[in-house]
Order: sequence, then structure tokens, then C-alpha cells
Amino acid sequence: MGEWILTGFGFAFAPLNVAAMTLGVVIGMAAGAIPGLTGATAMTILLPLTFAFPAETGILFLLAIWNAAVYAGSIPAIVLDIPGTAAAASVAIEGHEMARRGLARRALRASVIGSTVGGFVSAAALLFLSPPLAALSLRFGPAELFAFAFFGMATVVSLSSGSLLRGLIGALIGLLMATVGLSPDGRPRFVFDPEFISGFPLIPTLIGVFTIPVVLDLILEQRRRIAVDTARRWEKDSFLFRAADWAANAVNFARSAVIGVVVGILPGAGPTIAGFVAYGEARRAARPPHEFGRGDVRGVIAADTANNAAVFSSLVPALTLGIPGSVDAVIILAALTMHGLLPGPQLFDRTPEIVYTVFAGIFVANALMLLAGVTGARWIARVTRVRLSVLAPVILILSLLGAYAYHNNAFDVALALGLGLAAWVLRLIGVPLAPLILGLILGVPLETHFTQATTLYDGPWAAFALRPIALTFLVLAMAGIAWSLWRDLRARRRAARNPEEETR
Amino acid sequence: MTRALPVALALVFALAFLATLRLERSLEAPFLYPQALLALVAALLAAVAGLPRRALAPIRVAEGSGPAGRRRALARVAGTVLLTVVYVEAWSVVGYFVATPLYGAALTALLGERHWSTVAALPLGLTVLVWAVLFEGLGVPVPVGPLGPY
Repeated sequence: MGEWILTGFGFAFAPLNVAAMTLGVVIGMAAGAIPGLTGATAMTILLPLTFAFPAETGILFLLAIWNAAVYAGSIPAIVLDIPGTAAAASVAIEGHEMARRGLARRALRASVIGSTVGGFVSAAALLFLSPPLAALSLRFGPAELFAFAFFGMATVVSLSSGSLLRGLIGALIGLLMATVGLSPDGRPRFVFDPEFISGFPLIPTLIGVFTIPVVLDLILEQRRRIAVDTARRWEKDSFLFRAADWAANAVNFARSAVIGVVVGILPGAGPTIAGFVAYGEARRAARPPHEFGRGDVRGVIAADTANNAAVFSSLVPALTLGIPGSVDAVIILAALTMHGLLPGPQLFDRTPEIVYTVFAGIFVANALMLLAGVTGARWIARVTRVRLSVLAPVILILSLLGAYAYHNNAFDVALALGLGLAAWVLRLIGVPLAPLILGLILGVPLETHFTQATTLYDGPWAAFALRPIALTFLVLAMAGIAWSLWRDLRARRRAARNPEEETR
Repeated sequence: MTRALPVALALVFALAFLATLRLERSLEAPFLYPQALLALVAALLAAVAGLPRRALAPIRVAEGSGPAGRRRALARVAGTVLLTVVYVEAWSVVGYFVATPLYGAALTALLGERHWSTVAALPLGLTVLVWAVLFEGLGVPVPVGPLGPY
């Protein structure tokens, strides 16, 4: 493995790869900083265009966008109190308070350095945990694979914002869409057009579901400008340029990075949850704790270190088992598939030069993000002032071209448009789209592994109840759904008791 | 949001469920699993329609815009969708590089851009960028009309 790591670093510094990652960091920072857009939106728009690159270059380009977008979501969170992405919501709590006190530069530096530390630890986790887990995955049979995928689905549904009911609707519609194509026994199902024989084409579907509703929502909200900068003081500050600051925050960095990696590996959890868990732990451990809530830099460090630490570690189950735990991981898997690479042990055995180039490149992408963040955060914050009349045509034109470029046909464009409208209607009633996409991706493996497991082990009881790993994941999945149900019921009871408070 | 939307969606899924009962007889494909999913989605959407009013997701229009503002926002969304459909149809008639600046200009104006320099320059600039970087540079295919992509 050591030899491949060195080879990977050699390839990662190839001019084309460095150029692609630099471009990815710039695009990711812009997408993350604009509230309403996310790294997933930018990655989806640009995914078909990576066809033109070698596999490792295209994937590094997307990973650089993702990582930079998770970091850059913190910039408007700190400067404007508007998180650019959901993952940055935990950063806004202390970050914006700091900006209001005239400490915006300190908060932004803590944010970018925390994100970089988290990114490096996450990259190391991916580098060192993926190969042994890929080897371990050979011991996973269809029952374990079904249970793990089900656990991922259940986690996404139970953590979906809004309510369990709406999350469930999204997931079930995704599973329903996944039944289009060939059934596990090879017979066609809902194939009304030959284009659907392999199910919904992934890239046009992702483009439809992730970009078109975002634009329509922005138009509906009538945002002429996305936001207006309110923190104008950019004082000199040498925070984290001194060894003493590092020593004072070493435990916070380490704890938050570990939380981020662990939460990231769990399918369905991801950077948003990691940020809040780490923030909560930092607050609980803080001595003295009274600065928290009034702009404490330790909160920014914890949240940003953890949310970026969850980015690459969430690729571990995707690359080793082929089970993505987040929408962003789905897009990376789609990019791998587009380049003819399949996740699992064979990915490491057959194409180690690509895998280790990507792993090594992640370290380089992190360093580029640090450079861009330290030098350009102030300027990146200005993209939040872009006008909707400029942003919407750019997104729509590039998205539709991306859908066309996938297979060179107009059918995919019409499909992306139709699915985009349908997804927007679902958003109008509060149905989250992440469970829908995970349902679509995991639907086929869930059905196939379930059918195989029940056939192989003579029924569901022997397949799942008597196999400890499968049973553990199923119990955890059920516990997650039960917890979510209890949370929703408690919130509803509270709302019924205090209706005024809820409607405020 | 009114209750009409989840009710309408529940009806769509219920009708799809009924349609699969007919399909099953004609195609003999394994439909039990998707049928169960269709029925569940229809039932859950009906449950959303039955939620108390405060639990229904509000339509997020600009703050303080009132019913007239909401109508205006919905009209802009409808206009955007219509323009986009016409744009995609126009690819096969006039080609990508003619349709794109026209669509871009129309959409930019529809979304409230009042500076004519922006209305003209943004779509033209974007089209040139797509042509130079994606089409010529990276070889990304674009839709062609009777006169080719132009």
C-alpha cells in the first residue's frame, strides 16, 4: 500500500490534476457561499462535463468542489448569519456572534483552518480505513448488504429535516422509481420506453432533482439578491498563526475531527450532524463555558473541523460496499460508474493507481482550499450578493447542457425537466429530496439483496434474525426510526400546547 | 400551502396503483413490491393532507409580499418553466448557439434585470464561454439543429 500511496502523490501533483482541483475549489467556494446552492448542486451540474477528463482528474475535480463547498457554507454563516449550506448551520451559532463583535476575520480563519484540519483527518481516514474495510466487505453476504443499505436509508429518513412522515414519502418515491427497469428476476417492469430498460438514467435524474427545484425555489422566494453583507469590519488578527493558539485548541481540533470521521462513516448522517455533535461536545467540555452563545471561537473550530471531517469519511461505505451514505457520495459513485469503475474490493485491486491518486489528491485539494480560504474568504463572501437574474440563467443553461451531454439526446433533457418540476412540487409540500435520491440509488441493491438473501437462507427469519451483523444493522435502523417518531410526536404535543410559539 | 396539493398527489399515486393492477395481468411482471410502495405513498400523502394547518409546509415567497406578491412569484416560476420548454424545443430548430443567448436574455429580463447591458451581455458571454471551453476545448457535445450547433 505504501508504494501506491507514493505513486498516488506523484500522480496527484500532475498539472492537469492540480488545475482541476484548483478550479474545483473556486467553484465549490462560490457554490457553498451562495445560500440556496450547495456543493451537490454544483457537482451535479458539472458531473457530465467530467467525461472529458481522465477518471482520477474528474473525481478529484468533484471532490474539490464538495470539500470547498462544505467549508465555504461557513462564510455567509459567519458574515451574514445565513448558512450557505446546511452543514454550516452549526458554525453560524458562534461565528456570526463573533462577526457582530468585530471578530469576523478571526472567525473566518478559525473556520478555514478547522475545515482544513478536518479535511486532512478525513482524508487520512479514507486512505487508511478503506482498504481493510474493502477486504472485510468480502465477508458481507446479501443479508448483511441489505441490512447495511436499509440502515443507511433509515438514518437518512429519520434525520430528514421536517418530519419523519415527509422523509418517508421521499424515500418511498425513490424506491418506487428504482423499480423501473428490470426486476431482480430479469423481467421488465414499467418500461414504457426503451430508454428506461436500465431504470432512470442517473445523471439527468440528479440534474432534474437537484438543480431545477433550487432555481424555482429562488424565483418563488423572489430573492433579487441572495443576501447583503452586514459585517464590514476586517480587523487585523493573528489568531492561529501562533503556536499558543494551536496548543490551546489542540484537544478541540482532535475531538471534533474524530467525531466528524465517525459520524461521516455512518451512512445517512454526514457533515450537518457531525457539526452539531462536535459543537455540542465543545460547549459541554468548555472551561469556562459562559462565552458560548456570545461568539466563542471554540464553537467555530469544533463545528467546522467536524463537518469537513465528515466529508471524505462518508466515502468509506460508498467506496468499499457501494452503499452511499449521502447525496454527495451518490454523485461521486455516479462519476466512478461513468468512468467504468465499480466500488468494492475490485476497485482497490484492479485500479489502485486511480484510487490512490484520488486519495492523495484529496490532501492537495485540502491545501488548495486552505490557501483560497486564507487569502480569499473576504472576496468569496461577495458572491452572496449576486443577482438572481444572473444566477438562474447560468444554472439552468449549464444544467440542461449537462443533461444533454450525458447521452447526446434530448430525451434526457426532457426527463430532467419533468423530474425537476415533479421534485419541486414535492418540495412545496415539504418532502425532502435527499431520501428520494438515496431511495433511487439503493432501491435496486435493496430489492436484489433481499431477494437473494431470502432465497439463499430459506426465508427472512434465517436470513436476518440469525445473522448477527445483519440483525444489528436492522435493529439500529428500527431504533433510529422509533427515535424519530418519538421526536415528531413530542414536537407535535408541544406545538399543540403552545400554538402561538410554534406559529411565531 | 393548501391541502389540495397533497390530496392531488395522493390521488395520482392511488390511480397509478389501480393502473398497476391492470398491468400485472397483462405483463406478468413482479409488481407486488411496487404496488405496495404506491399504496403506501398514496396513504402517507393523504396523511400529510390531514395534518393540522400549522404543520403544513408554507410556500416561501418574499417576506411581506402578500397574495399579489405570491401570484407574481408563481407567474414568474410558470414563465421560467414555459421559456425553458420553448428553449429545449428550439435546440432542434435553430441549434444550441442561437437558442442559448435568446433564452438567456429572455429569462434574465423575466427575472427582473433592468440593465439592458446585463440582459444582452450575460447570455452572450455565457454562450461564448460554453462554445470556447466546453464545446471546442473539452469536446462536450451540444444539441444541433438543421444548420448544425449554430
